[in-house]
Amino acid sequence: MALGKIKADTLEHSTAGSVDTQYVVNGSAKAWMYYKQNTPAITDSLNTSSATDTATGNYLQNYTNAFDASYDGRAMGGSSFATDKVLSHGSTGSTTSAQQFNVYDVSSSGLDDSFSSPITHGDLA
Amino acid sequence: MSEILVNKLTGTSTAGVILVTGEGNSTTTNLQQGLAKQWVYFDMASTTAVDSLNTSSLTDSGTGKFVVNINNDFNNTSYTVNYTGNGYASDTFPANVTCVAKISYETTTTTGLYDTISYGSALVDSKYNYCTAHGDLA
Repeated sequence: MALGKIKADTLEHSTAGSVDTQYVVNGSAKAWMYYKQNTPAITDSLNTSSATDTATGNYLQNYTNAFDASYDGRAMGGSSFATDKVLSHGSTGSTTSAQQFNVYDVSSSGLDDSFSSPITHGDLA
Repeated sequence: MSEILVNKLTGTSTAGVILVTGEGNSTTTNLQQGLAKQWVYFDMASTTAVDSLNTSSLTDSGTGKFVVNINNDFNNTSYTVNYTGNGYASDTFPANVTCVAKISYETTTTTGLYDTISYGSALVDSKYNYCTAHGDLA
């Protein structure tokens, strides 16, 4: 069967309401991964070609398809496994094709966590 | 403006893959993979969600500990989670206002386990809890 293409501005469900398709395009996460820093290994992911260990607690998530703007044009979140660890995004090394993330403990020391899960929204190039 | 009335979207080549053209008008992204599969907003003073998606219930498993019970299962335990919390009902910023979450290794395809911990390392029942999960549904 040939691949079809539908152009529409609205999707409407019979009971659950409707959504403007701009929220489908703009609201979908464009990249995420389940990353074991201490291995290191990517267990599952979207739009992620690889991860680069840049320092203790720090890593780059390399994207398969680039974003249209660097870290200041994207929204990111995520969590880490270990107690009292914070996942933050870093500007150093971040480009449209990769995003730096840093995992810290409460004393601001970097730590290679056993589970890190960054999620990024934004515009693809 | 065009409008599609539909209850279910399914890919033609692969049922679970629908490509959406990105904002740059050329690159495509996988619709199913980009959608949040579960989210919930709740106050740990109770186990009633204020609002949620694909969340059957919440279980209070101790001070600062809760279980998110997922309605439609994940396909594996390699799904990503995002937690943001706030332990107080005001806009002041005491040292332990922000909660971080420890995501348990015991997370399963049907449950997400969270410990919410204040800046001072104490387990606290956070007032504002926002959990989001992305990954593969079964």
